[in-house]
Amino acid sequence: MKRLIFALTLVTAACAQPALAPPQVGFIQDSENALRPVFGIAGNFILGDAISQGITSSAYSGSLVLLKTDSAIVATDVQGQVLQSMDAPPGPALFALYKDGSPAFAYLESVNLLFEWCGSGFQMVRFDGNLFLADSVLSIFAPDALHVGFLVRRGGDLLDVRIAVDSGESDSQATINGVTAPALILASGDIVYADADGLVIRRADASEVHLNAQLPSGFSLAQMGAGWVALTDFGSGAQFAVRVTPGREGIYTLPGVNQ
Amino acid sequence: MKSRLLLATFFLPLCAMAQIQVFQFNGTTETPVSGLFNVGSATPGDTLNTRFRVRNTGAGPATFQTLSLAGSGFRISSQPSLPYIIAPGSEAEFRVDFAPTSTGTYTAFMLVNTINITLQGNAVPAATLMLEGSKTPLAAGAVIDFGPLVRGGSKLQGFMLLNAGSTNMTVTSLAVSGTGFRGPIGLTAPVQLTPGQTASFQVAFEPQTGQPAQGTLTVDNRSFNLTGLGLDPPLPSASITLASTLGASAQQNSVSVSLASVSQVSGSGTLTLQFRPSVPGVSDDPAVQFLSGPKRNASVTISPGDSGAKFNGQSSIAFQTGSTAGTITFTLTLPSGTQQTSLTIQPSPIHLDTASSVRELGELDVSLTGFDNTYTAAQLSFTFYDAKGAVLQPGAIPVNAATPFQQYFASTQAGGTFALLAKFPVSGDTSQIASVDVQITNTAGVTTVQKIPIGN
Repeated sequence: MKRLIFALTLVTAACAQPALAPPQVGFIQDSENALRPVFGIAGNFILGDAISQGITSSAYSGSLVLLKTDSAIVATDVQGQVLQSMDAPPGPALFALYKDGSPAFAYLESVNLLFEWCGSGFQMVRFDGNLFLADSVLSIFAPDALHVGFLVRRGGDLLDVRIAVDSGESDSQATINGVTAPALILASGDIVYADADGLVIRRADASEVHLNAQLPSGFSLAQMGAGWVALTDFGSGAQFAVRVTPGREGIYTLPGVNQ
Repeated sequence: MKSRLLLATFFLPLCAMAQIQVFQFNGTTETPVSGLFNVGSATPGDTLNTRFRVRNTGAGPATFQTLSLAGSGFRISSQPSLPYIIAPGSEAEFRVDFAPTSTGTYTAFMLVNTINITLQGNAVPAATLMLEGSKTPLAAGAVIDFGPLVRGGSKLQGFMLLNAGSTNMTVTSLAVSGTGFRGPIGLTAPVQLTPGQTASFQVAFEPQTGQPAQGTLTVDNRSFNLTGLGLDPPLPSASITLASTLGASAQQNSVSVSLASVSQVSGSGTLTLQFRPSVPGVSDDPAVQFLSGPKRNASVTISPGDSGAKFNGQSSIAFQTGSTAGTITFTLTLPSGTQQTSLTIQPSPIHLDTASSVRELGELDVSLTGFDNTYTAAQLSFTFYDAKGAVLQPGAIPVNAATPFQQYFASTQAGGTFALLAKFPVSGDTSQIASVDVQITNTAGVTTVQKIPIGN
């Protein structure tokens, strides 16, 4: 205890100069397919300048940005500095980000390939390529450091299919009841989906939080930051920020890009 | 040689005069005039205007040299400045008014260069037309202007027919024509009038469009011009309505424009948003903006049947209140006028949106995000606890962060928002530290977040 007291005494002087910076909620892929940082806090958003153009898909963990262009999968830091880039065929990608950004996964549905970001580069994850041939993969997620999860639409059902990263084998498949597309599973295990009254956040313990909203007829969901999901209206291009942090849930309008 | 030249000079005008011919022109057709010409009939008090043309029918230029008129009831109302050279095939025009003062036959003698024409006109009795309440007869062709009137409305003008003669007369025709005009109301032809007798009727102006309107009131052979100006009704008065009147920072709100009544017309205007910070030295907060379209200028449109203005087809437009204390002013500008409403963002204690703490190697990191809408954050205090909830010595650790906050707010474009990272180097076992309280102070108050768990 004396040792701790001593340690905290040192703290007094060391904390004299806290670091201050604009808070960042995350990144969004705007209607012109540029990647933009979103600064601010809930209810007070400012869009930053585009840091990358020609984006087809993107996701942000809070420390790592994964994005897909027409020809590459790219990992960048928060400032948009490219950490690694890998050639990839055209088309969108699905991303899964573990809580601290590593590991992270990129799935290219057009070629049924899965890649893992392991902090310094991308590595292909071999898995049973026949698993999803007849299915539609809605999103992927990283439930833990050893698995990648696939949210799959099979017939009229949504399934949570887990693949062990080291073996590439599927070690669990579970039907997710009461959830319809579009839906997103986050690293926390939370499922974000829509119902007739708005959005629903189904926690890992199966409890649900309902966010009443008039949702557009067609929209997509993507992870835009730690505790934040971007909802993009296919029709108008309007974008919304969905806060999924427990106890702080809410839907906010993001400023338009063409401003 | 000299005498021959004088002779040529003398005869040249005569030759030129011989080339001209006089016509009566009705607007489309020329009719040759010579000798006696009857201009027609007019009622005493009216003016009958006749157009004449002097045409050069020769191959060379002709001079229109002389125009004179002698006789009562007639006068030249317009003519070119004489002498007037008329090119071959061309013409010059002059007009003669026949304005009799009493009934009977009128004669006048008109000379055009060397052409003598006898003009004749007949003055015939007719009912005198007067505006209701007036004793002044209206001349044929007079303009009765109903003035401006909002479309859909109706304005009546009263008229009175008077037999000013000494014998009975019959008005055989009384009619109103022209879009937007209706009548005669209250009187139908034929109308028998004894000497001195009057008969009243009305004409209604009922414009259906916001356009000028023209019509004709015909009394027997006399026509009177009816005019009026149809107007579109004005936009209903408008008012700005905020979905929430909560004057706080970091709020997403919406604004709409209500109309006092359903609009009958279309219109457009703008709704602008202005922000005046109350924080000294701060000129703006970029986060105070509309959330769609231009940041601080929204177009509003109103269509017939609308009870509120539309913003790009929507009944309201969302905006956010930023993170700086001050006043947001909305100004609505429509053709019908300008409206303003304001939302005051009061200074408030610091709002913390997130607070977290993690153990790092040899240190504890405490992260806060939030906003200080006064830009006066100064004093921080951290109190660490062990797993049993006991305060770790030395207790509350004060940190004066006024300078870094001032430097940050002076340089950032993020308004009053901030992300703060406080690092606490620890040489001991950080696992014994379980939570931390954070207290942060600005001029509006003190904000405390208790028992932030220390994560790994």
